[in-house]
Amino acid sequence: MGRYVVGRLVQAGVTVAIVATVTFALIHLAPGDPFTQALDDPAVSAEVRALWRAKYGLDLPLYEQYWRYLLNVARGDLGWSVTLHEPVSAALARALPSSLLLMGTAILLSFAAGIALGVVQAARPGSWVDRALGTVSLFFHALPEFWLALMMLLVFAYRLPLFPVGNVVDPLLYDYYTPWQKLVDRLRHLVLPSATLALLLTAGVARFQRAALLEVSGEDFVRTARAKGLGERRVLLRHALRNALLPVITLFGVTVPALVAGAVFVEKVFAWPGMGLLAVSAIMTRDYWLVTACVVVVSAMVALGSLAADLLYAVADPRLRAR
Amino acid sequence: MTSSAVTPPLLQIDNLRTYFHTRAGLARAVDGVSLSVLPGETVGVVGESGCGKSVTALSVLRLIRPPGRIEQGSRIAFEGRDLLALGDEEIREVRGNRIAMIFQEPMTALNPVFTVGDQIAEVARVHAGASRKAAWARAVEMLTLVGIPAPEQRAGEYPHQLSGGMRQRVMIAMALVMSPALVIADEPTTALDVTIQAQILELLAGLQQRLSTAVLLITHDLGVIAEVARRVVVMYGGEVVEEAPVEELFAHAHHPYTEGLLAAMPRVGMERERLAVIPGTVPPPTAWPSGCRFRDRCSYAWDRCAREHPPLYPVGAGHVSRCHLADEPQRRARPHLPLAAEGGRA
Amino acid sequence: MEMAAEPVGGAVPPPALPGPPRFRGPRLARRSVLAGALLAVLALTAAFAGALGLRDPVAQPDPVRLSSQPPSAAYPLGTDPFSRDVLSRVIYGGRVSLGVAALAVAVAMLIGTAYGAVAGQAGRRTDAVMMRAVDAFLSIPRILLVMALLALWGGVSLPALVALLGLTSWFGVSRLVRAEVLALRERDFVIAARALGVSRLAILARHLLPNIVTPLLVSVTLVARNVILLEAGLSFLGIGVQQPTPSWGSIIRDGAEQVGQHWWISFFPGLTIALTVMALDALGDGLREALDPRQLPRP
Repeated sequence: MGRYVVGRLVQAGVTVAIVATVTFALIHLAPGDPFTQALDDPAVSAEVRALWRAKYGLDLPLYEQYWRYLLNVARGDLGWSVTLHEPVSAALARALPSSLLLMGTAILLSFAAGIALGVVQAARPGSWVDRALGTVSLFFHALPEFWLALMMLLVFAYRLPLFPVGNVVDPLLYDYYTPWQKLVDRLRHLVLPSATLALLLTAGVARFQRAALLEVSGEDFVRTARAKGLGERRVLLRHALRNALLPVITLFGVTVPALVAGAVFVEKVFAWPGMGLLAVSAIMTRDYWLVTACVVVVSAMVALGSLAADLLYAVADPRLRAR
Repeated sequence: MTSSAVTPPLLQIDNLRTYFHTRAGLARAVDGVSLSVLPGETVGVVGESGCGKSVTALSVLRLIRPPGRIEQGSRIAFEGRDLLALGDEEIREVRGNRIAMIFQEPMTALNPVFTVGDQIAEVARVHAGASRKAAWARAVEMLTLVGIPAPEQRAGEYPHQLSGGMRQRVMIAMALVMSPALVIADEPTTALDVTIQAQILELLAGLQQRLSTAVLLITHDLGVIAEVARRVVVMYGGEVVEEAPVEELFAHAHHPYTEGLLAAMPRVGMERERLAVIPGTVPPPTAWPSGCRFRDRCSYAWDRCAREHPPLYPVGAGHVSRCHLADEPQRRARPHLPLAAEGGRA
Repeated sequence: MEMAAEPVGGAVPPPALPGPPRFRGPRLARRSVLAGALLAVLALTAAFAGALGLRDPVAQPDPVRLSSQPPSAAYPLGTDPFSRDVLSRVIYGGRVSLGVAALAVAVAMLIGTAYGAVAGQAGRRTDAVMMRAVDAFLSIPRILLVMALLALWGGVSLPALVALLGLTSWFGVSRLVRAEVLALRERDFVIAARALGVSRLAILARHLLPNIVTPLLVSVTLVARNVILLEAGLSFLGIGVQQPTPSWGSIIRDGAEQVGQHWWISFFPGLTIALTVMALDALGDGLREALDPRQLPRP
């Protein structure tokens, strides 16, 4: 088991390294170099420029720059954001927790709801409940995230003023709240964005869970369970589902890229100051180091998410545990 | 086949028809099967795949799923009640409790994510309301009963950690937890090595004697039948084509199909080098031939066989056969190549 | 007392021959047929937009008095902040969005099939390297990848957009094709053909393609729906199809600021995207079911 974990960690590391390399290559292949914009900025003093030259080895041949870049990344130095005028790591340190809160909430909600829906559908396949839920699922799965976000805003923030229209906390009043009010305020602001993200993912999870459960339901051991005199509920929830949850765990790892992609739009519409918003503005303003860092961090999140899913699977399936 | 007036049968299947309503057509997998099992008796049901024996077994416990359906007019009497008329709760009370079933593939028939002890104990928890401890103790007890060494340790293992023979023992243990009156064994040894087969059969026979359990044994293997069964039911084309006590069947088989099965068995000391083969294949259950369903593969068939569906003729003590030869035995003297063999002519 | 497990005395049925998928005809779910019909209608409307006598989608007739008008008899879907007819923009936008998607899908399918076929045929090491690269790319959320590429290269001309969308959408297809090729390699008839000296390319062409038509068709619907959503997203962010050319995503962008008051501008194009993608999903599901013998009961 230990060897398996180490092996997967190495794999994850390799993937992140590949992504970092590709990003580096892309940046240097692009017209202009990362520092043209900054270097032309008259506000930047000659000393700072010299400092940068030395630190990032701008005068060195490409492969040396690449090597330094890797070293820097490994050390946690992700460069300097020329638009935000601060180290990239500082900008990330601000944005990452917000994103994790949003994405974490969304993924938990979507898996809980998705699994439940999938079970309900698979319990009576072909029934009107199954078909209705299936169509609703299909609909939500097909929605553009930004559109759903806008519609949620329209209905729940504008037409029915239940929730705020954006941000993490109330920009004016937050500092004057009691701790309890602060918590409530945070939660109120979290609801719409995370619900939007969750709605999009739930459909996918439900479809998958339904299919997995139906497949397992055809297995011999389910027939044995019935032959033992167990009730349908117990057969479904204890014998079938326990096996059908396994593939859903792998889905967990695959969902993270979709989650991040959706988060980009949700953050924009709800003005949620997370990684997505950061990445988009960095790209728009051509803040290269920030872009690189965002892409690398995101791919690291994806790799870790997939790793976590694999580990969870290895623990959950007794056939793998013995190894 | 009716029972003797003295002991009422434990299980009485009357005119069972299980049809599968598929898009490809109506598959009459079981088409009017009647058989009975006396208390403590071992009845063997033998036939090729596609003859409906497994479906018959599954029908008893109502384990047939859509598009399969047990048709109206079928009756399965057990301990005085018609199983087909029971409600869902009631049939669940019978399953695993009064009638237990053992399946062919122990690897896939056991849930891979639960320990074997857990799966055995579950039966006691559900049917006897036993506590976790009591149920677990019972599970270990059952594992000992079926001859598994180090039962306490084994109980905590998962199916994939056990060998094929041991898994089948686990299945038997699971079946016997509530001391059922009837055990239905669907090809219990088919997936096992020959040596293990013998062990399992021995185990079954021993347990059956000790616990006076009746056994309905489904198999394609006549050898297994010879070992364990008291009475034999031969099935073909969704029907019973012959039924007899075991010695009678082996000594005086009547139906041409049974003859074919016996002839195809390799035996020690055989003179012929090639195995005798029944030409042709089993027809699909969506299109049973008219008249006698075996006629295309039969060496004695004549025009009557295509016209008239043969009933079960009595041909001896406790022996019936679904063949017109019982009515016109002189035809047996003129065998010919079956229609299904190349160049055959009726 | 040993007996063969199958069957006693009878002949063994012949094994199923490999070959192209048999279409199961009328079993195609009614819902998929509806989906196909909807897509056909959309495609035709888009193609013949000019013939429908719609207002100019780009001109701004009266920015002062006609902007952001709610749906009415004259303007069934209302007008946008620049007094343009939303209905006309949605239809012309469809032409752009669907057109871009179709071309990008073609690019993606070509690259993906070629890459997958090569990887499947290649030696183990090459294959491993090729697929690890694909895995790495699959782990980057596509939107970020495309955005980064767009930003770095600046230009967002339509051809560049199509190329970029196609270049980032082929990974899944390659995996699929590779899996099929690998499976096929082990099949007897391929080994036999190789033994007879048939060239690899010929084997690929003759044996691989018919077996792969099924999953590829389903793939097409999958890639298409993803590309449509991706393009819409990019246009929404302002880095996809550029103004004033309408695209479903950019129309939503136009109405985003005032979605609270002037909901129709963002609502209708989004609804159209949703319906199109739904139709593609349903079609993909239907195709998968109709062509795969072992399917589950459908919802």
